[in-house]
Amino acid sequence: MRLIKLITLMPLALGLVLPGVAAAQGWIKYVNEEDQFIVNFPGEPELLEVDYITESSAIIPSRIHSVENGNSRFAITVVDYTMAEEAHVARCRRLEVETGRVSPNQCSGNGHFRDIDGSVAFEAANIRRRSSGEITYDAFGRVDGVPGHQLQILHPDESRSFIGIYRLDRRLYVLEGTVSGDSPPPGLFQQSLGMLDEMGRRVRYQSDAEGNYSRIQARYEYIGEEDPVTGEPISDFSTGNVGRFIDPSERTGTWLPEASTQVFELRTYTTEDGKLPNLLTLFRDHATQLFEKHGMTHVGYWVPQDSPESENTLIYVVSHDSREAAQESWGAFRADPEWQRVAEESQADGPIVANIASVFIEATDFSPGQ
Amino acid sequence: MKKLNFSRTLQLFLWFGVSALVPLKSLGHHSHANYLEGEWLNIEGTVSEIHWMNPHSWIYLDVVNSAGESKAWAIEGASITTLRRDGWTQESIQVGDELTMRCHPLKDGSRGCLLGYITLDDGSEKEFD
Repeated sequence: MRLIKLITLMPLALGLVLPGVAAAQGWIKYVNEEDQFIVNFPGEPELLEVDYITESSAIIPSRIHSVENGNSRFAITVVDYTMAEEAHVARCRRLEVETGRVSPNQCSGNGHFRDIDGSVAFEAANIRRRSSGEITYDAFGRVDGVPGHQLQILHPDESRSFIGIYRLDRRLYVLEGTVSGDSPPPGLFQQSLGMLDEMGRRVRYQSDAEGNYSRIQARYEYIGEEDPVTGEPISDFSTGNVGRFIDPSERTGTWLPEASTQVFELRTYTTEDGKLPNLLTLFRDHATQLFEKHGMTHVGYWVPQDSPESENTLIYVVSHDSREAAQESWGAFRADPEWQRVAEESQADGPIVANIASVFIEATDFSPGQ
Repeated sequence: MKKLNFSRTLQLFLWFGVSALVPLKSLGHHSHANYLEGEWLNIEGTVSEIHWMNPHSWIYLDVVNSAGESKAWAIEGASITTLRRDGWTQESIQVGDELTMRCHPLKDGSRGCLLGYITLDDGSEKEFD
């Protein structure tokens, strides 16, 4: 049960929003080391801090990270049971003040452990209780070997919710993805959770033949930058057992989108004297079409305004999916029989290009279009 | 494989039944209890979105049902790492491609499915899990 007592609504603008393949399609990876999770989100989440009332009526903090996207809503609530013991003491004091006496059954020993152990079942019951729809799936589930519970709900308006509830140590993670009846079910969100330890390492358990679970290293334990094609880590940090230490204050709320491999290429052609018109004709009538044919994307073509460059210089920018793609495109372009023919014809009266300069460039973080 | 060449007519073929084929290998990241892993669903559709992501890739597929209505499905695949290892690339499937696939449907009947296999141009099936 949630009690919205303290509301702090603030965009998580602490990190960078970077362009990338996944971001372009509307989904990005999001890691929050303070709340120790990584998840796929369809946009920038907002943070809502709320009080959470446990099964035994203790009040502990929770934080809701959520994205509203049209008729869809995706939220992960992280309930912090590390405060459970302290909250139980506070609850007992409150009872003492309110009733003048305290029940030994309610306040003795380590009663807060009951809340922690039952946290998944309690939250699942809360969701069932508040649901006005048909619960179409209601069963145990695991993520990275961490036990939990999954619920799927068909609402009266035909929207659907896919829910996952998992507890790792003293943190409860509640994922709720709700989409309209026209949309694909929100499994992409529900099934994307990763839980992190205090060191920022992804936590994963695996059972042996006897069903005993122990923590193992996962290939995707690493939460740093990945190659967007292979999914392999591409920074200096490895997937080694020691994992990666990250200062929580440094990276909280940082986006980790799939890195884009797109590159831009700035090319500057200097022509022989008087041959700029020939070069422009060659590009206008042939080269630009062949660039497209071989996978390059036009950005722009320019000639300088001032002399002497205005008489002998063509500058253009094309983009490629990657440096490797650029190499392949240029290779295919140069080998294209049509290009070989028109290039030869253009030089019937002698070479038209004196020099070609190529520079691969990438946008800065303050460049428009980021 | 820029384009997968299939029938232009999009139809949904549902044939549930206990399969004699080998069950899908475990994806590892999460349990698949919400899928009917003992049953197969054959579907054809047009890719509306492709999410090449970890821990799972997802294909959003527009599928025309028997009533002639186009409905969006969410098809779950393996991680980037696994797909790459199996020979898939980010360019293998593009938005607009028409796909035929065989997957495990969600137990609750909502439009989700766990891959499974995708049928290639030559008619053979290739794992996407």
